[in-house]
This record gives sequence, C-alpha cells and structure tokens, in this order.
Amino acid sequence: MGLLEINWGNTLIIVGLGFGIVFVILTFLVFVLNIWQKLFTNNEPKMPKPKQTQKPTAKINDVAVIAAIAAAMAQTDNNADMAAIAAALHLYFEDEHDVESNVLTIKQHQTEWNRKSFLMKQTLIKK
Amino acid sequence: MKSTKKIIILLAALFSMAAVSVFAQTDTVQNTTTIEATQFVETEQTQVTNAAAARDYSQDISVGQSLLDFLGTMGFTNLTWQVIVMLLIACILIYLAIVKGFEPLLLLPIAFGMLLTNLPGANMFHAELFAEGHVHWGEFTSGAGLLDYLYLGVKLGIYPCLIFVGIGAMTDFGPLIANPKSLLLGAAAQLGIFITFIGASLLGFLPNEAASIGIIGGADGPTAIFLTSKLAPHLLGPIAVAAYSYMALVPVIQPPIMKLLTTNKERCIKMGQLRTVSKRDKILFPIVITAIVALILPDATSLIGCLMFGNLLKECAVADRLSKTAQNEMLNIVTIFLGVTVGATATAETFLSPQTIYIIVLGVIAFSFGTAGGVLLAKFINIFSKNKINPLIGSAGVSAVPMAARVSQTVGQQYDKSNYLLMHAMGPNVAGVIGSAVAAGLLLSFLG
Repeated sequence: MGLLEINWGNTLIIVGLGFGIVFVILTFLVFVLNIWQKLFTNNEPKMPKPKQTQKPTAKINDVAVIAAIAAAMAQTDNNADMAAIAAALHLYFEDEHDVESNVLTIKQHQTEWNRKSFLMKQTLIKK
Repeated sequence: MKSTKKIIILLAALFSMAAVSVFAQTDTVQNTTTIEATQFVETEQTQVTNAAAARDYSQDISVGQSLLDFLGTMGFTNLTWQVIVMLLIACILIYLAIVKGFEPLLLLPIAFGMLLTNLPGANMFHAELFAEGHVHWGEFTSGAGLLDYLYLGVKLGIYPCLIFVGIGAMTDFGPLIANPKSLLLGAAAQLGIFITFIGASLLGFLPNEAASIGIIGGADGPTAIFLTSKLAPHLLGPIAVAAYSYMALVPVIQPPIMKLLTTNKERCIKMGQLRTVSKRDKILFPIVITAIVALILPDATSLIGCLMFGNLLKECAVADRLSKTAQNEMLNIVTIFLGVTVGATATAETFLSPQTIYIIVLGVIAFSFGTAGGVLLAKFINIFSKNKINPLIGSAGVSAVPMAARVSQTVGQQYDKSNYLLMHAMGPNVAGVIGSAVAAGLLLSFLG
C-alpha cells in the first residue's frame, strides 16, 4: 500500500495519456463542429425579411418603459413573471414584435344563427 | 368429389409427415442433429428414472425427520451477522429511494436486487458462475438462479449499451451543436476520473480496479457499470451503489465547489442567445460523431454508437415508434434488469469489506475533481475568449444529465435572478456523456 509499491510510471502514463487523449478527441470534435458550422450555416438560404407595412404610430419613451419594468421586477420574486418580463423586453428592444394597426378587422356578418329575421325572440313593439 | 380429393390430400400429407418423422428417427447417418437431440432426451430421461429408482419411495416417511429437513432448508437457519447487515443496508437504500427520492428508478431495483441476493437459501445469484472474469457456461445447467441468467446482460455488456440507446433517444444535442466549445468543458470534467485513478492506486487497488473506481467521476451509471463489468466485476456492487448515490447527491456536492472556485462577478456573467440548430445538423451530428470516435477509439464504439443511434432515431423523425420504444418501454425494462442484477452482485463477501468504504470516499473525490475541472477550464477559456462563459456551467460537464445542468441554473439564479443558464449548461452536460464514454473506452483499451 506504500508509495513505493505503486508502479508510478504506468500510473502516470495512464493518467497523462488518458486525460490527454480525451481532451484531444473532444477538441478535434470542436474543430469539426466549427468547420461544419462555417460550411453549412452560412450557405443556408436566408428567409427574406417581411416588409413592415406600418410603423408604430407612437414610440413610447424608453426611459419610461425601463422605469416601469424595474418597478414591476422589484415587486415580484416569481420566476415565471421574471421570464415573461425578460421575453417582453427582448421583443421590445429587438423590435421583433408584431405591428398592430389597432383596427378591428373582424367584420360582423349574419348567418342563420344570428340573422334578425330568424331570431325567435320576440322584439318589442313600439307603439 | 371435391371433398374426397381434399381428404385424400390430407391423408397423403399426414402419411408423408409420419414417414418423414420415422425416417428421421431411424436414419443414423444423414440427420445428426436429430440423433443428438434424441440421445440427450433419452439420457435425461434415463437420469430421471435412475434418480427415481435410487430414491426409495416405498420407505415410510417420518414426520419428525421431514419437519427437520424442512426446517434445515429455511433461510433463518443460515442467517449470519453479515447477512443481517446486508439486509439492513438493502432496506436503508430502499428507504432512501422511496422516502427521500434518491434516484428511485435505479436505486430501488439495485436495493431490491441486494435484498434478493442476500436472502440465505434463495439461490438467486451465484457469483462463482462468473468467477475469474469469464462466464462458466458449463455450470449454468446445474442450478443457476434467475438473477444469474439476467446478469448475463451485464456481464456481456448488453444492458449498458441498450440504456445508452434510450438515453440517446431522450437527449437533445442542440445546445452542444450550437456551442461546440461546450465539448471542452465536458472533457475537463473528466479530470475526476483520472485523479481518482491515482487516489485508488495509492490505496492499494490494482490498476483495473482503480480505473473502475475512477469512472465514478464520469457521473454516468451505464458507463461505470459497463467498464466495471469488464475490468473489475467483483467491485460492481459497491461502484454502482456509489455512482448512483452520488449522482443523486449532485445538488449537495457541487454547489460548495462551484462557489469556492468562482467570484461573484463570474457567477453573474450572462451568456448570449444560442444559435438555432437546423434539423439537418441534428441528423448529421450522431452519424459524424460515431464515425469519428469509432475511427479514433474503437473501444468506445459500443457506448458512443448506441448513444448516437438512439439520438438518430429521435432526430430523424421518421422512426417515431422506435424512438418512443427506446425512450420508454425498452429503457424501463432494461433499467429493471440492470438495477436488480447489479444489486445482486453486492453480496456480504464483496460488499462488507474496507474496499467498499474506500470506494465510497473515492467516489466523492471523483465527483469533486470533475466539478472543479469543468469550472476551472471555463475560467481559463474566459482569459482568451471575447464571449465570456459563465464558469458555473463548467460543473455540468460531469454528465449526470440533467441534474448537473439544473444545479448550474439554480446556483446562477441565486446571484442573478434574470440569468438563465439551463440551456447553456446542457451543452457541457451532454458533452460530459460523450467525454465519459470516451474515457471509459480509453481505460478499456489500456487495461482491458
């Protein structure tokens, strides 16, 4: 069990060579993945950016937004709230959020179910 | 007419079958297989007849003697203090698995296997059938237990590889492909394996035993079982119990080391968003990794190949049924077999020894150095790299998927609640699985 009983030569060869080879193999894989990334990722066809048809009419003051968010974050310890705020912030500053026209586009149209002439309800008779 | 024809054909077929069977029984030259089988049956029948003849059933049966014989076969008569201690240890492990929730999916079968093998007289497992590192097939016919047959899956290295197929089918290598540097952290976290190898050698273990103990630092149960079953099968029980117990204790072992080796500023480093990985990348990754690793290190092919095959089943999206089977039914079935049989190797003779205590101590050292290796390499990379890495994700390189990545996330959030490290930590975490499999393959090629 003593220090001298161990074949230190063999032990250190196994340790040095073993750890070294693990490192070399995984480093080689890093190079392979990096080359792969350069070869393939850059050649991928890029999706054309959708044209923004309408800019937001009024830009909210960033300072006011940051102040409001800071106040909201101070009030909560909930991770889900934090994640929601972080996601909203990311979308706001990256300007990737949908641009809303603020105009309702759902048009009312009459069907058999809501057409006035088909309603069974008795309407008030004006005298 | 038609029915008459049918009857004639049927009778002809029956006669021809009878003729063939008679011919097969009488022919002594052409059909040797049939002869061997017939002779075997005859021999077995003769043996049974002889045994029945030897046992004189006409003798009167004494009630007292029968009762004494029966009492002699009871396990209670063979209870020793070692057996009682082993049964207690099995019960403690069952308690830890059920009540404390320590890796119950593995610890529970292991503990129950330990209980079964130590029950005197049950004859469920016979270590002597696998003595001297090889299977004694000839002795299997003379009273092998159920667990002996199931243990063949461990001994032949089948179960760990099948479990790797399941793990591969559950693993997303996306974070690793998006950030290839993670592989380096996975490599650094294998430091624990090699430091423990030195430690075990110092404590008097042989090199093959030291390598099996060191692999605990890979924090990968199937890899540890695979290597130990090849190099030091007599230590399989203690090593498996230590590996799975420490994997359950990762949230306790790692945080103090992570905090000790990092500054407050480093813990708050926020890492950039990972790039999106295409489906093509995810499909090609397992194929390329298998080919490269197998060509460099053929001994690691069985583990890496199975891991990557499982992952390919998942990512190709055309073999959903196979992927789901690998993730669920197959993985669960093999886990049961693996756990019970590995537990069965923990008999009183092998488990109650100073070696077990050494293994348990060395296991902590292996995990600690593995954690430290990953964290320190992340700090070292930060010296040269523009894009800083949060060193807390380095600890996830010890494998133990996904527990170690969760620990990185939890510790990171203790210092900055808006810092989300989980996906970044998954890269080194899955790299650790590859790293430990490569390390196991290397040790096998050196010492196998």
